Amino acid sequence: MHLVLLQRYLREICKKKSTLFYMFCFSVFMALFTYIKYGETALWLIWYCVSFAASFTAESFAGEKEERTIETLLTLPLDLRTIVSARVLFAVSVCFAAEMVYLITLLFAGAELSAYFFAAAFLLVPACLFAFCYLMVYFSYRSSNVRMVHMKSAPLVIFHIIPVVVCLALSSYAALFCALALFGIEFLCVRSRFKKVFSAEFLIS
Amino acid sequence: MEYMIEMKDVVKKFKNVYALDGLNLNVEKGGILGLLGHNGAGKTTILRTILGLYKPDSGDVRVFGKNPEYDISLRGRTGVLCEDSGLYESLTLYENLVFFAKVYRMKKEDYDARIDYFLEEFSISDKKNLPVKGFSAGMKKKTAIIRTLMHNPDLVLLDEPTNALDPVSIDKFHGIVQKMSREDGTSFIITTHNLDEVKKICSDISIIKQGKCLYNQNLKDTRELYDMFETVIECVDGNKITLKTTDPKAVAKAIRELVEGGADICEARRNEFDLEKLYLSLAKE
Ligand SMILES: Nc1ncnc2c1ncn2[C@@H]1O[C@H](COP(=O)(O)OP(=O)(O)O)[C@@H](O)[C@H]1O
Ligand SMILES: [Mg+2]
Repeated sequence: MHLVLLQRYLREICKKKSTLFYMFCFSVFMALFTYIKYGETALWLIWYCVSFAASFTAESFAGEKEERTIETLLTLPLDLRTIVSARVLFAVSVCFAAEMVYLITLLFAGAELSAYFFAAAFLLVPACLFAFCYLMVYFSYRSSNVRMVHMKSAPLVIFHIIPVVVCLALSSYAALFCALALFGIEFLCVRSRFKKVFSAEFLIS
Repeated sequence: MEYMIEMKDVVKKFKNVYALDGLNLNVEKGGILGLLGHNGAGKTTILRTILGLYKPDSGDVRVFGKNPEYDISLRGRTGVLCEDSGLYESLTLYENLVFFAKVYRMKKEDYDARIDYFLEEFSISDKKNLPVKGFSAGMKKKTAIIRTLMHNPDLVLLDEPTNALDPVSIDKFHGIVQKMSREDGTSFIITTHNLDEVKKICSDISIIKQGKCLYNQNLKDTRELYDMFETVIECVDGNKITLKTTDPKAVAKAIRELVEGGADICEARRNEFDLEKLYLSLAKE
């Protein structure tokens, strides 16, 4: 069932050609800009992926509420948890694709990437993204429209620039520590939120 | 008697409003139940409770003999049309239907055939690959009806299905509903404000007021009950005589006596079963 949902989400964003195009251009631009200006900067990735993920996950439940499709969706033989996890999976995959564009651009630009970079790109960033997307989907579940989700989540998104700032101001090891701490906090939030079960009644009233 | 749906003393409270207040309702296999009631009577709440989307505060709900709160597989055998059409605007009509067909675990051959059949029925085959965004309300409703019926569900819940539909499509829709009920034994619950629709297709009616069921009857019995009601004889001078019977012999006798008595009769009519009157009289109480 996840696949069916993912397929639909993909169809929906494919209709927005311009969004995809901007995402692509932005990824290439960010890669070149950060590389030329700061050299190897794995931790930019966190902030950059998070800002993309924010827009996809914000739409998950609040978007369906705005489009007035949520009630019909809930009448289908789908578990609410399936819908939640499909949304998270989707946002993470799209951001991961954007990250790949970033990475490939760096390689084309002739950057020599260290093991440290790969570890960050393939482990730390996806882990952070998962935790972040879960939180965002939860915000979206609680809010009645997309604007509200963005308002609620703005501080969370801004926190993700801390590792980048630390990286520029101190050292990349301090930044790494920062990113890990951020992930830890998010993970704890997710755990406490998701003990409560999702309810259909809450979504349609 | 085999019931598809049994609701017993169901109570559902929102803050300080009782949306359902000790409601009893049964639906048989192959039955078409018309749910009538004012706005805010609790019709939509009944449908949501049947689906397990609302948890009742007390009382018992059984759908196919199971509790819908804990068993979402029931929803696979159910087709639901909500007040909103529930379609994804950016996708085309066909993409929308395919998404729902896949969620209902239909195979590609099956859903393609079913979709084409229904599109033909509602004469919207030419719109198949257009995005739903530009559709009129009626077109969206038709698409949503197709979505509700295409997987051959055992139970269909329709919340005001004929709003915004044109008369020809309403007729087509009624035909399809009656055919499914007769041939496949599909049960329907239809909420509507259109009393003619109820008279035409429903086998049972329930009148809901403030979360209670005021009246729950087989429509055939109701018709007999109220058809037997009266014959009105009208004279040229405007006098009206109402006989509380439709027995032909009694009516003939009355007319003969009136004519012999010198009355000029210009019309004698049997009052048709009047659902509207029944509805108004019950709803007013
Ligand atoms: N989610 C909800 N939260 C609060 N009140 C509700 C909710 N759903 C329904 N109600 C209340 O329950 C009553 C019945 O509503 P509803 O079932 O939608 O009526 P109908 O569909 O017959 O017009 C109304 O008074 C409505 O205000
Ligand atoms: Mg309603």
